[in-house]
Amino acid sequence: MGCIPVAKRGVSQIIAAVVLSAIALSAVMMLYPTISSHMSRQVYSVSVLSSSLMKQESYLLLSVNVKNTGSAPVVLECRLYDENGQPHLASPAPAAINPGATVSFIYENSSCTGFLVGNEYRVDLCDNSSGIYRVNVLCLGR
Amino acid sequence: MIAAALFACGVFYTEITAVAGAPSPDDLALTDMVLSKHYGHSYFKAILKSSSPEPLVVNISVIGEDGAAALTFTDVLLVPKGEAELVAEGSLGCAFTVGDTYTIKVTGDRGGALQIVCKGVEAYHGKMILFNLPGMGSTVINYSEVERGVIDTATKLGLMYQSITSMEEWAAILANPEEGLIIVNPYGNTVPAPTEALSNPQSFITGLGETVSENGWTWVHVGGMPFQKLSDGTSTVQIENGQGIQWFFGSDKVNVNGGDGQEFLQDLTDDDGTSLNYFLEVSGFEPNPLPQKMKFDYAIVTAASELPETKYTFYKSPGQSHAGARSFYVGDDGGYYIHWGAPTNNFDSYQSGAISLMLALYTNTR
Repeated sequence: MGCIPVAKRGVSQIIAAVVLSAIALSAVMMLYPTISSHMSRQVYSVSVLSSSLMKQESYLLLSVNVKNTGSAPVVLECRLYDENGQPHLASPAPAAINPGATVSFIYENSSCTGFLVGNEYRVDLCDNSSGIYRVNVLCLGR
Repeated sequence: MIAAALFACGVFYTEITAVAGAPSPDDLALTDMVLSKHYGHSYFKAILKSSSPEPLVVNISVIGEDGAAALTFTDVLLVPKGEAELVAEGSLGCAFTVGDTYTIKVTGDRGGALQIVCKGVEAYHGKMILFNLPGMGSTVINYSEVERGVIDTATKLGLMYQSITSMEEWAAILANPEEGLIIVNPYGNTVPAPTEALSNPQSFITGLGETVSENGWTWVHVGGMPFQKLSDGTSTVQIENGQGIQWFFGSDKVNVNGGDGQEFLQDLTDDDGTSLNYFLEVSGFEPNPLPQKMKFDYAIVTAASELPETKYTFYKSPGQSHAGARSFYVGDDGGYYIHWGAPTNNFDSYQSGAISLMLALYTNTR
């Protein structure tokens, strides 16, 4: 009995590699627009580097350092809310902050009322495009 | 697989970019801060450190007791990751009080609000009240010169003071007395009083003595017959000679007579840093040392072993109960009355104002 040769079916390894590369390439081409658009999309993001609220009898000082950590410019206003919920606008108002830049908001009042040492107060950073960022700040001092 | 790898790389790149772009917690710090006071002289020092990769320009202010900037550093340039030493000192009077906290304001490329405690020594922790009212006047002493002498001395000794410029302010202080006030009356024999007090001088003066006693006040009389007149700045009520001071002390064993001879400086030589000699030196008072003898026009006379009780005698007639300058206890709660019986033959009104405040401080701090 002679051996019956078994025919090898399928594609060669070279062709397989070419086909796989083609599949990968088409996958990349399909995903590229998604990734590319994600990478180039304007991201609105700010980060509060530091914030402090100091009271000295009737003198009050708020300081808020904000960095634009997004990829789009933002225009922010900083408002401090007192015990009665009344807003106090910090300077500069508004502040245009480019991506990567930092701005310092200051609110100063020599005859303030409505703040108590030991209490926390709300600070809103408002941008027309991206909405409101909110932090709480503890009032220190005397 | 390659597609998956490329996709993962894209996501990783996005995340790593976000992390790299995130800010450090804060890139400006004030360290090694010192705020100290020696009487009217203040000293501030701090190190400003930047961890920013960019140069920064900031302004620093130390907020004083009145809520205004007492010390300021403008346009302080910090090179990337650099530091700067801030030092300032000078005669700042009562800008700071030992033991209290003060705000440090940072503005410019970075902002900040910090606090620091003032340390050091000061003549008196409480507040001085000085009348500066319209229509009061004085017949025996130049009150504006007295005020000038008091303010100059308060500034040099770093004493916090408040000028009372309206009768409403004075009435408010009487209605809600703050503990430990030193009240200087520069109007000689006239005492400022709200209008309603003029109808009953005895009640007002008796009540004033009680307020001094209960709240640890020090009443400083700079010249003339004490409590001889009450005035609201428009109307004046005359009180019989000697009666006002008796109402004030609640004792009929006290009187004020014209000086009838030389009075001699008593022994106050123990100098432990808070003595009268030290106040004279720090305030730059002249003459220093004080004259050994002086003649006072209005010497206070008290009976031995009777109230009011003497705390210190500064100038006294030998062998007599006359004292041109003497401090008394008022009650048991740290109240004092300081008598400086100006005019004198040695001191003008400016000097009388200055020395009477120093006698008040000496009486309080020892």
